[in-house]
Amino acid sequence: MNEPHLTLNGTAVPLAGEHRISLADFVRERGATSVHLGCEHGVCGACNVLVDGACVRACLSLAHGCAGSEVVTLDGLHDALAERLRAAFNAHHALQCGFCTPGMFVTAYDLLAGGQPLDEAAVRERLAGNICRCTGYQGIVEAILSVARGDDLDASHCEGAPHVHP
Amino acid sequence: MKFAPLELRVPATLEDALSQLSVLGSDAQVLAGGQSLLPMLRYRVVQPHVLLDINRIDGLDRLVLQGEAGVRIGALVRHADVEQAEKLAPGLPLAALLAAHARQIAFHAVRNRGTVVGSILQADPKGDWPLLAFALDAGIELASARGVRSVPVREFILGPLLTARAVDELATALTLAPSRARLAAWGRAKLMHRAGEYALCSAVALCRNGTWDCWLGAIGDRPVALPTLADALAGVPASAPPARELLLDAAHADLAATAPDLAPAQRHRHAVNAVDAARNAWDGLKR
Repeated sequence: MNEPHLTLNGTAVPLAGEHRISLADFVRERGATSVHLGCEHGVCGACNVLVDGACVRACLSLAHGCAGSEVVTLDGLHDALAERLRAAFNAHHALQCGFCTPGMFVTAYDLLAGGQPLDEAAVRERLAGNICRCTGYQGIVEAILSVARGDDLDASHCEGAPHVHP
Repeated sequence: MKFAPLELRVPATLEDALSQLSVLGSDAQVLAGGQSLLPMLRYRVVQPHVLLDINRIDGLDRLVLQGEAGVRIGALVRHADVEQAEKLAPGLPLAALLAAHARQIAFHAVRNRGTVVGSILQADPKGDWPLLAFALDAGIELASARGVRSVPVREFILGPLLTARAVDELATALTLAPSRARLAAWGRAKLMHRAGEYALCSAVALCRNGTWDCWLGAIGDRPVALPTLADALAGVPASAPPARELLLDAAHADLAATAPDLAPAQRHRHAVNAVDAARNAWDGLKR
C-alpha cells in the first residue's frame, strides 16, 4: 500500500483528512470511541493509546505523523492480560462514571505488560498521569495490584467470588 | 481547543529539513516530541503555517554518553530513552544523574514522546532540562543551510520561552565536553505537588574536578547559580557531613542576591530544597 496509512487495532486505515487532525480525533472518527478527550492538552490521560507499543497521549499526537504506526486503543486490547485486567477492574469497582477508564486501562495494561515488580507506590506514580475526577483511584490501584500479584489466578479469588474489603 | 489549520511536512533527511526551514523561516515550527508545542498550538499561542516533523530523520535519535567528543543527546532522544541511560553506561555517575532527572519529568506517556532537546528549545523557566544543562554547562548544536554552530545553553536560553535560535536553525543535539561530563558526585532535589507536575522548587548540585556547582530552577526567568552554597560545600572537610545550618545560610545568601523580591516562605522553600540537593551530592561523594 503506497498511500499513507496507519494500523488501528489491527486494521489498516488510510490517512485522509486535514493535517491538523489529532490522533485522538482521527481514531474516534473511525470507531475507536473508547479514546476519550478530557483536557485535550496532555494532562488528564483519558486519551492514552499504544503507538508502536509505547503508551502516548493521542491528543498530543498528529494522526498524519503516525503514518506506518501500529495504534492500539482499549477497543483493540483482548489478549489474556487485558481480559484479566478487565475482570479485575470489575471485581475491584475500578470505575465510577467511566470517563477516565479507557485511559486508565491502557496505562495499567502498559504498566503490567512491562513485567517489572510493582508495589502500590509504583502503581500510583504511573497513574499520576491519569486523572479520575470521581477520585476513584483506590479501586483502580487495587485492581492493577491484584493482577500484578496474580490474585485472580488463585482459585479462591476467581470471578464471581465475593470481594471482601480489608 | 482543536488545532488551527496547518500543513504537516515530514522531511526524510536533515538536508531537506534545513532547506525547507531556510525558505519557511518563522512560518514553520519544528515538531519533535510535541509535548509542549502541541498544547501551545491548541491554545493557539503559536500558529505556524507549517509543522516540520523531524521524527523520520535518521540519526537524530542517538544518545552517546561516552564518546570521544563527550556526551551527545540527539534531537529525537526522548525523556524515556534517558531514563535507560544507566544501561548504556553502567556505573557512570553522569548516566545515573541523567536517568534520575528524566524519571521525574511529567508523566510516563509524555516521557515516551517528549525530547530533551525540545525541552531546551521550549526554554520554560520550570523546565527540567534547562536547569540540568545550565548546571552541567552543556552546549546546544544548531544546524542550518548556512552551517552548524554550537552555543552554550547558558547563553542560548535568553528568558522564558525565548532562545537565541535563528528562524532557519534546527537544534540537532545537546552536547557536553568530556571534561564537564566527569562527575565526582551529584545531587538533585525537586519538589512537586504530585508526581509529574511542574516543579515548585528544583535544584542540582555537582562536584567536578574538586569544584562544586549548585543551580536552582523554577525560579525567575532562567536557572540561577548558587555560588555561596557551592563555596560552602567546597569548604567542608571530607571527614564530617556539612552542617545543615551552614548550607542553609549559604543558600539564603544566594537567594537574597538573586531573588530579593521573592516572598520569605517561597525563598525558604527554595533554600531548603537546594540544601537537600547539596547534601544528596555530598553523600554521593562519601560513597
